Amino acid sequence: MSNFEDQFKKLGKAISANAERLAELVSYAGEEVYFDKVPGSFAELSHLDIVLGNVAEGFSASSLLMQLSHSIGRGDANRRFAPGVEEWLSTVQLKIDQYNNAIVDGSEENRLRRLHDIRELVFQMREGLLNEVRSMEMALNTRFGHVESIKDKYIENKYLIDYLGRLTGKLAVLDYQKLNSLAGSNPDLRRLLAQRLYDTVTDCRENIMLALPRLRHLLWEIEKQNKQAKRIWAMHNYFKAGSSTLTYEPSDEELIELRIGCPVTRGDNSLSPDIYNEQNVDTLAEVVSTLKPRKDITGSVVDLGKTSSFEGSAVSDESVESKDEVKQHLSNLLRETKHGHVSVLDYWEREMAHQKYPSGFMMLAHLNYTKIPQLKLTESYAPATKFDATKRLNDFTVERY
Amino acid sequence: MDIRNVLEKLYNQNMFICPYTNEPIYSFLETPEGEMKVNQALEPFGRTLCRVDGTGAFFIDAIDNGNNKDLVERRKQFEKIRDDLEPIVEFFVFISRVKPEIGMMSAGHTMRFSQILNVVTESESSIRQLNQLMTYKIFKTSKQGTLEKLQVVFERMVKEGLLISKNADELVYQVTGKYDYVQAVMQFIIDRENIVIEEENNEEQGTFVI
Repeated sequence: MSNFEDQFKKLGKAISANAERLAELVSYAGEEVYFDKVPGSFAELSHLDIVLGNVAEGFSASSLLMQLSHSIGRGDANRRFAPGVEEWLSTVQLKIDQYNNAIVDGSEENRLRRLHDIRELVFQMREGLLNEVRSMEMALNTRFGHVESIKDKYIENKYLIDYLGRLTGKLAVLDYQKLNSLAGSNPDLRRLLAQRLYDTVTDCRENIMLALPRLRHLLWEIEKQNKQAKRIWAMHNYFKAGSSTLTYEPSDEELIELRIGCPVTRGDNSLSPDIYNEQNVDTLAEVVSTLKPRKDITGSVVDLGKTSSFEGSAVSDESVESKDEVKQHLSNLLRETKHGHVSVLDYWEREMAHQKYPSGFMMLAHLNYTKIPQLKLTESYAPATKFDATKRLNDFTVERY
Repeated sequence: MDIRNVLEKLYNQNMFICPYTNEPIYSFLETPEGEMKVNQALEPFGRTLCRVDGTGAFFIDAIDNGNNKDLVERRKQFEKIRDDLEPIVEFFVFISRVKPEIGMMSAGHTMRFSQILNVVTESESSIRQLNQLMTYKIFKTSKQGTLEKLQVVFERMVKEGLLISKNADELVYQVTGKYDYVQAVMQFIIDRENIVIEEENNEEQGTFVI
């Protein structure tokens, strides 16, 4: 078992054994808390600067514990940020000098330890920069979603601008020339500083550039809201001062320029499309083709049984066409019965007056409809005359049961 | 997208289509294809699509600027907004006073009816302000209770198309994109009537350089 593995196991046990106390310390946010008795494992936490203080003076949460608790409680919202660049550069310079000394002294163990220190510092800076960019993107993409009010948005907006200023400041210092000169000609240091760290710096710059339009839009939105609020107050003050009537009558040109809009007046016939205008035919046809059929006029049609269909391509027999037309009318008439009873004679006069007499259609209709049990036919007959005692069918109505 | 549905909203109901009133139609109208199709369908009626400030909510305007009937309609539209401006302004002032932490609302902002009601019922001054609001013609009602009065106010604002009810159970209301349209008319009136806008620096915005 490695030394680190052993240490982590001990730490895990200590955290687990003291979870309740740690939660209490976090709730006091750095203020002293007095515990009557602490288990031996508590010393492990104190040793690693997770908790500060002692039994006599009280214990308090360290910044490390607070950061841990933020990470647990708020996910990515409070990641560890990049350290101050100036201080970080000084520390890296120190470690590089020590690393170079170790090489000169020929101490391999010392060299590896210093290299590990530098690697950790680079990791810390890379993680910190990436976290800061991620936090900024999150604030932008959630559109300050977690703030409670518009005033909070103003405050967050200012914070975001300051934040971006600090971040760009850090990135500006960490340029390629600076990192290259720090690394010198050592290949290990060049790989760490001039490649890995510089790649991260480049990524961060690109991400910020990508986020800029969104940030500008946010600023524009907030500026717009600010102007809108001022307009409301200006109008309120105007009305409050007793000037409750707005009298300005704009010219037609002003209204057109204002784009006030032009709603449709109900019942204004002039607003109906001119269906006889050939220019509108294509547009109307397209509109109609996109319309869904209205449910109330698409009721079930009573099946008339198998009917011969006329394809119309090879046969030009007028009687077939006529038969087909009559069948179509029989179907149409049936459809109309959905709304109540329909007079067959009325239908003929409306739809089939181009035929000379109604008798043929009426006869066919009567023959077909009597076969359909769902239909009720009510005949009306002409009275008998002294010349003819036969009842003559004048008309009949069709309705559904 | 069903063009009939779009036309019913824009043409028949004179709706302002924004992301808050109807997100699917708004997204459709934002596409060049959607804009073209709807404009083609509106053309026989002498209407065309129009947007608040060029980027906001969609509504319809007349194509022929020389058509007298359309000019009359435009004027009526202006007069309607102008005459309703005072109650609209006072409604937003009322909300900002009842819930100062919300601030002045704008398009997209939401409010809970229950929260407004709670504050109003607990404050004499808020009840007075509500009663003052009820004196405007568009909010007139025979209702006497505070709850009913407040309901009427919100319902009328919904009817005017400035609010939309987002959640019927929790009574969450959202300010629609038509608010930006009213703001544009307001700015027009402010300019023409020489109304003074006071400049304040309490909400200053920073700048940044990268």
